[in-house]
Amino acid sequence: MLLEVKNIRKKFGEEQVLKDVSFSLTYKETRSILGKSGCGKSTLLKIIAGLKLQDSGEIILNDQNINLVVPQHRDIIYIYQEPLLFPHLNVFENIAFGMRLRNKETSFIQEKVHKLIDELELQPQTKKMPAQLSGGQRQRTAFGRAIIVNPKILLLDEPFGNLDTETRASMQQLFKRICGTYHISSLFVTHDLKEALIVGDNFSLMSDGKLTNFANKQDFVNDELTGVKNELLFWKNI
Amino acid sequence: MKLIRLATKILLWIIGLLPVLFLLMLSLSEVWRFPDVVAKNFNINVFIAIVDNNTNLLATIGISLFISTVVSVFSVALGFYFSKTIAYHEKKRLWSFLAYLPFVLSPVIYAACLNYFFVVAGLGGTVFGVMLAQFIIIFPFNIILFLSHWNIRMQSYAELVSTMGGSTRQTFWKVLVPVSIPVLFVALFQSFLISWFEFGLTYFIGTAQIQTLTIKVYQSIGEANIHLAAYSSLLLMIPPLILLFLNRRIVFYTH
Repeated sequence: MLLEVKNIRKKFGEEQVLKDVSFSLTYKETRSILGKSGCGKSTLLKIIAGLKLQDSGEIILNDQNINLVVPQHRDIIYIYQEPLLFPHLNVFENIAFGMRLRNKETSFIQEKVHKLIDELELQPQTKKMPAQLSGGQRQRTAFGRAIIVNPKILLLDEPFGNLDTETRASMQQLFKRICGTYHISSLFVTHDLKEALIVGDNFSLMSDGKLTNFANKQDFVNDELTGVKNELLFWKNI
Repeated sequence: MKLIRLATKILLWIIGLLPVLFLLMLSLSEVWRFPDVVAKNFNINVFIAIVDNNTNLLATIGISLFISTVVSVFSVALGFYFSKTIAYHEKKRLWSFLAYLPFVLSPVIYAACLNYFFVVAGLGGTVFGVMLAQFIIIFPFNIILFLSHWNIRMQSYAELVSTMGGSTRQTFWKVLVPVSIPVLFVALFQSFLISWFEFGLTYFIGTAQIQTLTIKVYQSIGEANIHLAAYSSLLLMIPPLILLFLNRRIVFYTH
């Protein structure tokens, strides 16, 4: 087991945001977490990344409790809804950023970044600044910047939420392809039902701070609360 | 339409340059008596005479530049760093309130309050004392200026770098500082101007012994030396104009 999250609780003031949240993640798995805005998905991801501290509960990564490990040493990268590219760096330097932090050799950086740029279909944009990119290109660059350092887990907080339908669909396919190529383990948070089904290998539903895990896709589809049945009914009756 | 735009542009340039031309005329002329519309006897001898005439203008310019540069660089650097701590501090409101205090009192009243302590500490009438007094005003100005800069986006940048394995130092130097360059230049420019044109505080703490260019201008006006006042005013305008030009270029370039 790569990651085990056990009974995480978190309170902001009087509001209980997370209520005994538990789940696990295996190697090369993408777990989709479906939930409405404000249900505690982002808080959960930030706790796993080490950016927020839980009130109680355990986070176990590779059989080691990482409750008190700082974000720098968790090897878990958080990708925001907004790409948050560094505006003073071009596409190449944005992607190379993590390797520069680790003081890798220039030739090694060049080779790895160019390979990833090819994979992400960003060759014509290599020297462009973030302000010159489209929404999809920005998110692809942010994605490349995260995976180039081979993190143990990627946490994606509605990464395609700001994209138009078409770009969003192509990004979902790209994400699946890259995850397969680079053997990425990830938690993918979204409020979009279709997106959750496309990108996920396993599925969870978050509602009012409670997380429900499903054994397989069929259970997820059959559950009334996920809304899949309603969606299917809508398309049948149209 | 093009003609109107051009005429407006020329008019704006004239309006902008008029005070400069007026000062130039005053500083280059020897005589300007009523009822003459313009001054007479234009030559650069007035410039030479002023420089040679024990007015210590060069020393004054040097001191002014030194004080303003040191004060603005230090107050911007420290203001940038400390404002980040304050912005994310649980007692942000208290610290922000304290930063506003020097501006609730006017700088002159503030100087009067501080004067006693400066004299006791042996800092009255010294360059260091003037710099320290100006710093006490300009540092909180920068805290206030930068507080709004440390928004959720900047916090997200810092969090992102930390999850990527970056240390606090790397986050600061490799992301937060480069991302903030435009606002840093604006702050530097503003701080330099406040220090450069500061009169009351500098006069009080400097006990009139520290002669900055601004003090020189006031003195010249007081002595009815209109030519020296015009000449000093022209010199007073040069560094801000250079800074304005650089600031525009850098800020626009980085954007």
